[in-house]
Amino acid sequence: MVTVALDHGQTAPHIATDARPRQASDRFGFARWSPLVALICFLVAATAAWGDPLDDDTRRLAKQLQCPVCEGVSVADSPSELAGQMRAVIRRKLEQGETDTAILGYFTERYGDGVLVKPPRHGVGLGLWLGPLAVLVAGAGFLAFTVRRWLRTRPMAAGVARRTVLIPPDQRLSPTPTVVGDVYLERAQRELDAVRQDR
Amino acid sequence: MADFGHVVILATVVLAIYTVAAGPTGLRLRAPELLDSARNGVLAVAVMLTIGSGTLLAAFLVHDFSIRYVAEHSSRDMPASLVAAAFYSGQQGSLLYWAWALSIFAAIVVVQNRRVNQALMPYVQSILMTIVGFFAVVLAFVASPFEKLPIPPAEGLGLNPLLYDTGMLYHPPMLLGGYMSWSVPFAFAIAALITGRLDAEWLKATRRYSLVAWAILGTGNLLGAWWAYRVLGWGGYWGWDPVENSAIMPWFLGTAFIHSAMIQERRGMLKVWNIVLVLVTFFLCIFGTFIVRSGVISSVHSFAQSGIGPWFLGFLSLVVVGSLGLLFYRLPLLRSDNHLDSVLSREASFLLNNLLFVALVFATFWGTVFPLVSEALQGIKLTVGPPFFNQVNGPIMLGLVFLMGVGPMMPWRKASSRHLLSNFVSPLAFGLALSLVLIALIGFDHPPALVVFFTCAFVAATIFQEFWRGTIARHQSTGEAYGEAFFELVRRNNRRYGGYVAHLGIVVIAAAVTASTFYQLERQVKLSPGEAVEIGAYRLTFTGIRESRQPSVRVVEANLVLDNSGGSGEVVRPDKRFFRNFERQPSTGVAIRTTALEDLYVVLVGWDPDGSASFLVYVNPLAVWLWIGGVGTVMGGVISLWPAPAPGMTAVRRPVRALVASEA
Repeated sequence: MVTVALDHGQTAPHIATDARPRQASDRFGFARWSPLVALICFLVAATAAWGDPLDDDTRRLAKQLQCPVCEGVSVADSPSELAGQMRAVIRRKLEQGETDTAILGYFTERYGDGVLVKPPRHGVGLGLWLGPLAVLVAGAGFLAFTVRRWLRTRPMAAGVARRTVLIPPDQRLSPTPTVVGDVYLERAQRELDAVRQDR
Repeated sequence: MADFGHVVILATVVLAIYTVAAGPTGLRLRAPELLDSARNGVLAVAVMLTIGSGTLLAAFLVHDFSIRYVAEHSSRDMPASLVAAAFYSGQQGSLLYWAWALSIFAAIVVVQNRRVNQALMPYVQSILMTIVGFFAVVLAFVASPFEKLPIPPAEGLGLNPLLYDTGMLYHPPMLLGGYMSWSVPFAFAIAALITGRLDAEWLKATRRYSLVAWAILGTGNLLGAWWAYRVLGWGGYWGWDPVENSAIMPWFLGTAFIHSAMIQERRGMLKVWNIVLVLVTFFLCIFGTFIVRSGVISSVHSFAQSGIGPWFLGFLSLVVVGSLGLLFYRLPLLRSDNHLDSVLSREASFLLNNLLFVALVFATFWGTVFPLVSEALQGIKLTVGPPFFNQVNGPIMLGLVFLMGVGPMMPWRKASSRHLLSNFVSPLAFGLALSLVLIALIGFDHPPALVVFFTCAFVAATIFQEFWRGTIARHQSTGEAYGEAFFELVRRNNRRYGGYVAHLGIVVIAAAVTASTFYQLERQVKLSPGEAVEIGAYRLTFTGIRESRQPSVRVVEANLVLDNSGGSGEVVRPDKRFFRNFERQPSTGVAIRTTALEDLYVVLVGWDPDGSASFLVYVNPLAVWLWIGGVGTVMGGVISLWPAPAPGMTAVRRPVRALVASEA
């Protein structure tokens, strides 16, 4: 591997001008923090000036636009020339104080609604948003209907049928005929099922 | 070499066609020899495709540039591992890989079922061989990987720079393998429809295969996300791109199937529904295989387009029409054995799970094809980007996560309110407590995110409660130490506890995705050497840019010194790589510094002659947990797959007293 200089003269990795002060000894107490604090304040201010807030705004807007000449990439992330020009336009318009909606409107006017990453909720675009909702509602309705039918036509609904079961006299605990509800039979059956299933 | 490969593919076509016919004919004529012959036909197809694939692989490894596919996808200076991976980097090779992997899977299925499922197997074989045969026909006549170049070039074109990554070694084979492996449950479902044997038999036979397919497809998706995160350089891992969508849709629907299959197995309900789920999952797999290649819908994956679109569309329509026709023909046989007993039951929660999964798949599908719909209706090709999917799929997925906490706690058939109370009080309390702590820590900026975190905490608590109760119960009944009791609990009830592990993995993923979506920090800056950018708890000082050259690639690397509040002095090195023949599409080397809490993610965007450079810097909270959760989910699947100890064996091995105690 050969390391060569870039064409534009930036040779060896540039060592940053060290922004941090040397640590003072403890004798100076609280005072040792002040240069550090001052420097950090300065640095924050400096980076804020450098990392122009417009950059972040431009990016935020560019993310809402689809690059018209690429495949599935937003204007913010596209390396294409057109996307670069669009970013420049966004930036210029932001500098002129235009609002977000005005800028997005400018682009939809020129490229159509297809340029928006998030389709509009009107016209055809409405269908996009309503489709899943419709399926969910229809599915829920169908499910509710089916479940109701299932619950109603259950082979033997608990508590509905009560039948007199005659227990032979020699097995009776009391001398009178005993009524055994199907509720209990069914419950016993269920518990047996449950035990079997859990095995 | 090229001719040999071509002949092998042609022979595969012939063999596959013979095998498709042999099994059912053998059944009709009551000729066991023909059944044996069909079985051997499957094995022979597997051997043939292995030879064919081996030939192509060998052509790659010896740099036989007389084969067009090899010349267009590799070069001499690529590392051997990537030369081998270039096998599936284009469309012909990935179709060959698909067919080969399916033939191997089919052979495994045939061998495993040589003594069982005799009524279904002849048809299963036929259907699998139909699918393999279709691919073989495409490989032989439409998109041959063995096409020759009239004048072999001295050097190949090399690999598309986007694919120049370790991700290339794992993601494509896993994803294509996932698509391929859903063919097996599909084949069983169709065989059940043809034979009319529609009880739980086919479901029992496919349970393992579906889980394997689910795990492979899930891993493929996970690896895709991981690759995108490391290579694409936009700070995220999932862009709801059409190709991503078509890869995740069959996985969602397959997940729904794995759940609703349990209702049929236990209660004999939802027979039609399960067949539909398997069929549609397979349709989506073919759709996914096809969409990557077709260029119908614009996508970042559009490096591999071709004219095989009509073939796939034709095959897909044939499969859809044929299998739905069969389904309607068999509808009378698909009555439920049982009915629902209560809305508060495991069955009901599975129904809700299925509803949500179907809505999720539909929303994803709808968003993916909507540009085509709007173009057809109004002539405007609308764009459906991530915001739609996040806003629509997000809440549905939240509902699913919530169900993961509620569903498994519900007993089959009917739950009592006392039962519910005893199961949900402490998890709810835990969720609330954690939410309060979170509000104190990170504030109330994103209420939806807090709702997700609450749900995740609640679900995780229900799962831990299950493990805890099971372990205690086992400890008390068998006297095993806690560690052993825990291990045995999972081993003996692996289906159930494997499911819990998978659920836990999903909870972790949900939390990670939410954190990295709502709380991501992002800055775009232009720095001169010596200047710094601050983001979150980090300060990065740009120290300069340098360039290095290797034979086939030029790398421009920026150095940034990290001054993490502790002052660590670590250097972060994002870069751009310019590959020979692809100078106009540099690939991005993202610098990612991972900690348990967050990832610092730095992308070099560009540089100027004056030595300044622009960067995109992100902080992605909890990003690493996405991968951890993903591995956990797949592991859960593997645990459920693991053969449980046979009941007879355990009874003998366990001391009698322990047995009595546990029965009591």
